[in-house]
Amino acid sequence: MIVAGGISLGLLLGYALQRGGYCMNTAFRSFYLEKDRSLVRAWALVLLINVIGVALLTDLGVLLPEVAPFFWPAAIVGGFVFGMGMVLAGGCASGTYYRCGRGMLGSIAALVGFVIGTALIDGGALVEIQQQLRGTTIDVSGREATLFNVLGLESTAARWLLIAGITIPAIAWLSRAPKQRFLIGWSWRKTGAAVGVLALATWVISAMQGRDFGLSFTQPTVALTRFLVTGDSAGISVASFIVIGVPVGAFLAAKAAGEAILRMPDPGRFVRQFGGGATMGLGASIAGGCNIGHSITGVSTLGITAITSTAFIMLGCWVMTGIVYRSERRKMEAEVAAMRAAAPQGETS
Amino acid sequence: MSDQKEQKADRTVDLLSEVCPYTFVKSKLELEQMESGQVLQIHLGNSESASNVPRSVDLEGHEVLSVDQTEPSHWVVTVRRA
Amino acid sequence: MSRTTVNRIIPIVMAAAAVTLTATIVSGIVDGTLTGGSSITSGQSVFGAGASTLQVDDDLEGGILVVAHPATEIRVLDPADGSERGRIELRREPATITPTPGGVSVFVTYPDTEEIEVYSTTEFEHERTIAPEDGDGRIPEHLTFSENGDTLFVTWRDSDAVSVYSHSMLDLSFRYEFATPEANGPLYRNRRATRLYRAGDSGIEIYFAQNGEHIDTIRLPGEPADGKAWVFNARRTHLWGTDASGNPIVVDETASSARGIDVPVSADLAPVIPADTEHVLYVDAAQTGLLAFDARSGNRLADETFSQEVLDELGGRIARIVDTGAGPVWAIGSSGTVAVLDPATLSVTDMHDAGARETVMAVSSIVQQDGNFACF
Repeated sequence: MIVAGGISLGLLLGYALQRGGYCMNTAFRSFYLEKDRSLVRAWALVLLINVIGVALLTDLGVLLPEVAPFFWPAAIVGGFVFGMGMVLAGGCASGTYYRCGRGMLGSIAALVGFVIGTALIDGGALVEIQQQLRGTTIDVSGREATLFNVLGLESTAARWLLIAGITIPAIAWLSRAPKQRFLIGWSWRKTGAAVGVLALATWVISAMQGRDFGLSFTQPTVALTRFLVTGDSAGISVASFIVIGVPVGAFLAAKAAGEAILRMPDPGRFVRQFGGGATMGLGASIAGGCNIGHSITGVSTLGITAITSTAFIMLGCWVMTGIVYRSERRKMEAEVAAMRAAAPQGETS
Repeated sequence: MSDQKEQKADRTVDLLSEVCPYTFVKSKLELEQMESGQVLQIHLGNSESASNVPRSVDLEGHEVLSVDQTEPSHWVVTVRRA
Repeated sequence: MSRTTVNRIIPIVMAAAAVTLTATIVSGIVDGTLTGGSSITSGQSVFGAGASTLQVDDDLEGGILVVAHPATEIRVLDPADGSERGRIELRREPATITPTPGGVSVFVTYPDTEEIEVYSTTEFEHERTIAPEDGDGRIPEHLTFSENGDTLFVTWRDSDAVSVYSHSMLDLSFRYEFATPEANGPLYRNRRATRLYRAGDSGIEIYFAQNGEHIDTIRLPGEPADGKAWVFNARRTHLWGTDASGNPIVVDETASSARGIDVPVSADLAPVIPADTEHVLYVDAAQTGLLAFDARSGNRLADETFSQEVLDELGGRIARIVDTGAGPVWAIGSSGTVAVLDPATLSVTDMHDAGARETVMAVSSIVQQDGNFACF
């Protein structure tokens, strides 16, 4: 039942991600480069549903969310590295998974890179880096590292006051959203609602398995790799089945829209995406989560490690996008200069 | 989806195998090279880019003339530079 | 396949997925997994180590740790077939053996020293010696790890103090200590180790793990058996023990109440709650068979007295019961022979020799780290 539930959830999630074009790389980048906030709104809606949902489920006794200790050096370094890798890979961890299902070979290269990157850190040759960076933690007087405990809000009423303080402005901002133009697939509202509900459902079916965590991609990827390579089923959880279902669901969504097509980027881009995937894998394994594990699931528990990591994923994304933008501009300026230089010759001949 | 506006493009950029952020970055840079009123034709190979690029370009102030899906995985976006 | 066929099938697939997902969640609500927790399953059970079809997960990294006379070694046995994986040589006779939650190390305490020796359960070697900071020469009595292993609670011999340490990579750093004048037994914790339970003269005392503040006392129906272990169910809602006259006691933590069950059991042997089940198993008063109760309702589910043939092989009586964490439960006889049991039916499915000829002093099972533990 759990397996069937996991695969079903993965199928639906893959379908929603593909139809909604839910790319968190784009969401994060848009703060820096673009003026379009559609995907940021989708992300905010996912968080809105999950912050409220997780708090409610916790109070009902269904969950006791697992919160990462505040290993701030790992959250900062890992998040930043992940953010940089995400830009080169052309998609976040979840984005890479669903684009694989659509047949984008560059994303498959990025996924292979991601798997290698995570394997190098988690139990691999570079495990020392992770251990060093996670060695330093700030203790929230022995409590779980959440915003609630940092602010000393222990009673149920105080916790809900903080939740209201966060969600009400978010609702106000979302309700003032302009009409989304040039829409292909789902609107941000539909995408955010679908991904949000599925992320919350992941918490619920994980709780049935004794796993107090929501949607994640990094740890299940590591566990799946280990299972496939060594046959060791440790760490295989409902999230691993979701991860298997996502590309399949995305494929079905793309097939329905006629977008499923094997597409090979040129060799340079292929290698770039592979390298980006590997960088992303290293970062995610250091930080203990990716754009999903930290930026959706972790943030839903108001975990400060997840919030810190998310901030640095964004920063890494902006820095890398800035680098890409400048290098592309230089390339184009060089081309223009070359054309101008060539033009007079053209006239004389 | 399209109004089949036959618009002679001044410039064409092929971004069929590109992904974000390269699609937007390259489109933006192409537009910067052009003069006001000129038309750019952008070829995109995935639905996210075909949705995000016009929206972002529109919010930059340029005029999106059309978004056409010519093949299952091929979108053509026509933009007039502001 | 034509485009239209594809377009017709895909919504059906998605609808089926949505129905399956909803059904999974509804089933969780109906069977109580989500609301109070009955049939909690761990990551391993995904691959079929359920209670009804008794299968042993051959890939289990863990093992059964047995200390028997001569008590200067820990034998690490394979839960699948009882074969010996290796032996850990100890310096002398230990007081307690406590595996880490990840299962790769075991913490060993001795009756006469403050030092804790740590051994690898995979390499069978001594890993390090820890003299707990601020131990002040006291001798550790009982060790309790939090679920993910980041905290270790230590109780001391001849002291009512509980010391709290942060644990990381076999390093302990002292956090604080608090006194529990009301209680004296081993320490038990809730799922996130935010509450600690310790038996005392007036009942089970509950402390807040963050500052040691005394929260509550749950009165017990009878005097608990002296120094004997209690066991929590997987959801940590019910704590099971035995009273001094040999009757089970169940503490409902969520309701802060306790009751006794008037069925004679062995007062000497601690009950076990096998992984992936909500059955609590007791050894009967004569130590010749087992009794099973529902760990939440306390309803009697099954009992089984071993056949004379099995008892003969066990050496006449059961000396220990231990959960393998991989499906079956072991009843170790005084002869060192193991009867392998199905925890649901209590029937003996296999017998093998654990090679522990004399009295078994301590038994502990180590489980492979699961997805939760590996998260961070």
